[in-house]
Amino acid sequence: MSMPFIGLTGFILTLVLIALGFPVAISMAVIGVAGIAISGGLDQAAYVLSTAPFESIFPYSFSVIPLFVLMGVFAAHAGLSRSLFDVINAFVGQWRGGLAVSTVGASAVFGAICGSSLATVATIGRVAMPEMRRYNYDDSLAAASVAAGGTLGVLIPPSIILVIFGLLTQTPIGALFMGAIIPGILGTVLYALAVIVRTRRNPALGPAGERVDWGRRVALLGRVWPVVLLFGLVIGGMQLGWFSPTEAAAVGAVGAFLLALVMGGLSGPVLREIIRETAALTGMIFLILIGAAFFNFFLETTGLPMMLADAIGASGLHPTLVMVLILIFYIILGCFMDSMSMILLTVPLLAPVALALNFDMVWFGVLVVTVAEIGLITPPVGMNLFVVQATAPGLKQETVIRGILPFILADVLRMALLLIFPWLVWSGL
Amino acid sequence: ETKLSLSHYLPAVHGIHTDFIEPWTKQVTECTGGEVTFEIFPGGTQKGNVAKQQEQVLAGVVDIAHGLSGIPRGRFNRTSLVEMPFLTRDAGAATHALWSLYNEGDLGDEYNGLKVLALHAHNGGLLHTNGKHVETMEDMKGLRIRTPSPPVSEMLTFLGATPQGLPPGEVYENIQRKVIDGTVFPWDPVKSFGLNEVLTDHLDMGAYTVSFFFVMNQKKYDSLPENVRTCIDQASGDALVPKFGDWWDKWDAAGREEAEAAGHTITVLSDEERDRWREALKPMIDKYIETMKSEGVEDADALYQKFQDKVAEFEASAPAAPAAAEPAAASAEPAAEPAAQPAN
Amino acid sequence: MASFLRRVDGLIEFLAAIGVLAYCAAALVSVADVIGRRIGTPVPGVVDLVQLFIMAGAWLSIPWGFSVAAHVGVDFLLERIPEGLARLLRIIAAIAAIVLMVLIFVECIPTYRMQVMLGDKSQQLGIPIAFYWLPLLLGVAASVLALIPVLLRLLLNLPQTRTAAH
Ligand code: NA
Ligand code: NA
Repeated sequence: MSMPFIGLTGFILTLVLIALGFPVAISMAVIGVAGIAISGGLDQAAYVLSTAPFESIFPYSFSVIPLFVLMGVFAAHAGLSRSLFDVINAFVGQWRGGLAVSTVGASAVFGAICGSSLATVATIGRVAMPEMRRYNYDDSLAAASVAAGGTLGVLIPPSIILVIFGLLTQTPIGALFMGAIIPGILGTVLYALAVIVRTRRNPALGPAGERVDWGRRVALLGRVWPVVLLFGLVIGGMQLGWFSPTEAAAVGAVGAFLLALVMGGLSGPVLREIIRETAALTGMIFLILIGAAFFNFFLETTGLPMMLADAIGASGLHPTLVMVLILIFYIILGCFMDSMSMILLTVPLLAPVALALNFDMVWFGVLVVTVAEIGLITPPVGMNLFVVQATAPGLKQETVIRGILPFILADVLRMALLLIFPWLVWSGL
Repeated sequence: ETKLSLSHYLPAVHGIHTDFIEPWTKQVTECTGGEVTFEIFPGGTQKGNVAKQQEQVLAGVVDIAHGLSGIPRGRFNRTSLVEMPFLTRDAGAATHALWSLYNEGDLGDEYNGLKVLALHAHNGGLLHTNGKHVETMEDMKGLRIRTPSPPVSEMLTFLGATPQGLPPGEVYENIQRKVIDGTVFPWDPVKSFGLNEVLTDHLDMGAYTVSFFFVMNQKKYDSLPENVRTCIDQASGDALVPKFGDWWDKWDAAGREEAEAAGHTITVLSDEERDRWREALKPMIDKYIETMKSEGVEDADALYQKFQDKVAEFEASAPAAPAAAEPAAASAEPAAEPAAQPAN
Repeated sequence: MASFLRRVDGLIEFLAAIGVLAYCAAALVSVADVIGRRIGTPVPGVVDLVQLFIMAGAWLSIPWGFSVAAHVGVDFLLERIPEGLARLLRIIAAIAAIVLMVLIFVECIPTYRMQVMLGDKSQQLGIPIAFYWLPLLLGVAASVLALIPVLLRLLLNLPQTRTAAH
C-alpha cells in the first residue's frame, strides 16, 4: 500500500467511525495513532502519543480558548447575554432573522479579537443559542449562524494565521492585514444575506417580532450598559494597546465575573453550573485539538497533503483553474485539519506555484486563509459544527448540518467574487 | 541505501534551511554516491516544534536535528553561558568559542547520546523599538521589551525596562498595537517576522547571542557503514563550524538593508557606551553566574572566563571587521511557532 | 454499585472545579499584569504562570467532558438502528476512549521522566517542567476513571446520569 493511499484510507475510516457515533476527537485520535503506527512505525506512534497531548494545550496563545469560554459562561449565567439580546431584539426584532444577522455580526467582531474560530463559536454559541431559542428561532438557523460566524474573525486583524502566512512567504504582513479587511466584511455581509434569504423563504425559521418603540429601546439600552462596557473594554483596550489580543480573553473573563457579581447573578447552584459548563466545553475543545494533532501527524507522515499540493502545482492547468483546485483542496483538507496546521504544512509547497503563476501573494494569502476556515463549517467533519453542537443542550449534528448549506453557498459566492474581482483584496499598495 | 531524517524548527525559506541544511545534505548524499539520502522536516511540520528537536534525536524519531540550546530552558546550562550579555557582537567569535569549549571537554555531559555535528551562535542581538529612540542606558527606563531568554530578561530588568515573554509569532501585533515598545532580536528574525513594518528605531548594541546545536543520534551514527560516517564527518565539525560567522552576517544583512531602505534610525552603540553598559551589568552577570552554580555548574566562573578568552582569541586572530561591515546584530529566534499549534 | 458510580462522578466533578479555578487564576494573573505594568509592578513571568494554570485547567476539565459525554459526535445512525446494536457501538467507543487514554498515559510517563531528568524549566521563572506534566498525568488517569462509570452503565444498561453538559 502506498503511503498516500494509507492516508486516504485513514480519512475514510475516520468518517466511518464518526458515522457510527464515535466522538469526533476519539475517531480522529484512534485512526491517527493507528495510521502513524502503520505508516511510520510503532516508535513514531509512541512518540506522538507521548508529546501531542502536552503540546496541544501548552502554547500560550491557546489560553484564549478557555478564558473566552469562561467569559461567555459567566455572561450567560449572570443574565448578561439575556439583557444584551433583549436590546438587540428591541432594535432588529421586527425583521425576520434579525437576531441571527446580529449574531453573525457579533461573531465577526468577537472573532476579530479572539482570533480562534473554536473559541468564538463556543463563547458566542453559549451566549446566543439559548437567547435565539427564547425568541423561537429554529435551531438549524441559530446554530448555523453561530458556526459560520465563527469563521469570520480570522480575516479581521489581529490574525496570527495571516502573520504566519506572511512569515512563510515573505509577504508584507501589513498588506495582508489590509487586504483581508474587505473580504472579511464581504463574508459578514454575505452570511447576513444568507440568513435573510432563508427567513424570507421560510419565516418560521426566525420569526419577526413586534416593533419596539424608541422609548422602550432607550430604556432597555439604559439597562444593558454594563455589558456594552465590558465588550467595549475588551475590544477598545486592545486597540489602545492596554493589553494584547491574548490578554483580552483574561480581561473579558475577569470583567464578566465582576459584572455577574455586581449584578447579583452568582449563587451557589449558578457557580456549580458555571464550573460544569466551562469544564465540559473546554474539555471537549481541547480533546478535539489533541485528536486533530494525532490526525495531522498521521496525514503528514503519509505525505498525502504534500502529494496533492505537488500534483496541483505540476498540473500545468490554466492559472484560474489551478486556483480553483487549490481552493477545493483546502476545503477537503479542512475536514480534518485545523487551519493553522494546513497553512503551515501546505503553503510552503503551494507558494512557489502561486509565484510561478504570477499570483499576487496578498490576494493568494487572503484566499487561502479564507478557504482554510471554510473547512471548519463543511460537513461531514467541521470543527465549528461540533463545537456549536456542544453549546446547546439537545442540539443534534444533523440539525446543524441542515442549516449550514446556505452559509457554505455564501462562501462559494465570496470565493467566486474574489476570483473574478481580485481588486476586492485591496491592500492599499 | 539509507534514508536519514533531519528536522529543524525554522521555515523552509530561512537561510538555515537554504544555505546550510539543504547544501549539507546534498554534500553528504554526493559524497556517498547516493547511498544516503535525506528527508527534511522544517519548521511548520509536526516534527518542526522548536522545543522538541533534541528530544526527537534522543528518541530516534529523527536521526539529525538542528535546534536552539535554550528551549526548553535548563538542558544546556554550561553551553548557555555563551548567552551572557555583551560577551561578543560577532557570530564568528561566539561560534568559535562554543566549538572550542566543546572540543576541549568543557561542556560536560550535556551532549550525551548525541553525535555533535556543529554548534554555533548568532551575531549580537539589537534592541528594536517603535517610536522610542534609545541611545543610552537611561533611555531604557520604563520600556516594555519582548525578551528571548532569561539572561536578557535579567539584563532588561536591571536596566529598568520591563521584559515580556512572548512567542515570536505574536511580536508583530504586540508592537503594532503598542502593547510592547520593542523587542530584542538579531536582524534576521526582524526581517522574517516582517517586523520592519512596525519598527522605527534600531540600537545596534551587540547585546547577547543565542546558541544552536546540530546533532545526530549517536547510535544511528555508529550503526552506519564506515564510508558513510566518513562522509558525514567531512561535511561537519571543523569543516562546517567556521562557515557560520559569514552565514550569520549574510542572513542579518537582509534585515538591516530592509530597515535602511525604510529610512529607519539605526544607532550603533559606541564601544565606550557598550563598556559602560557591561560595567553596569556586572552585578547582574555575577548574580546569573551564581544561579548557574546553584543549578549544578560549579565552575561557572571559570567557564564564563574561558568563553571570554576564546572570544578574545578569535578577535585577535581575525582582522577587525572593516567599519563599513559593522557586524550586524543578528540572531535566529524560533522563527516559526511550534508546529503543533492549531489556532482555530 | 450506583453509589460507587456516583462517587466517581463526584470526584471527577471536584477535579473539574479545581480546573476551572485554575482558569480563573490564569485570568487573574494576566489582569494583574495588565494593571500592574501601568503602575510599575508587572507580574514577573506571567506567560509561564498562564501556561501552567491553563495546563491544569484543561487537564482537569477533560475527564469531566468524558463523564457528561460532552465529546460531541453524530448520532444520526445510532438513533435509527436497534437499541441493542446502538448500545454495542457506544460500548466500543467507550472502550476505544479508555484504550486511547491508557496508551497516552503509558507513553507520556517516559517523556515526563526524560524532561525531568534533562532539567527542563519554564522559560522565564524557571518553574520545573514537572509542574506542567503532573496535571496532564492526573487528567489522563482521571479520564480513564471517568470513563469507567460510563462503560459500566452501558454494560449494565443503566441510564447515564447526565447526557449533556447542561
Ligand atoms: Na482576528
Ligand atoms: Na469540513
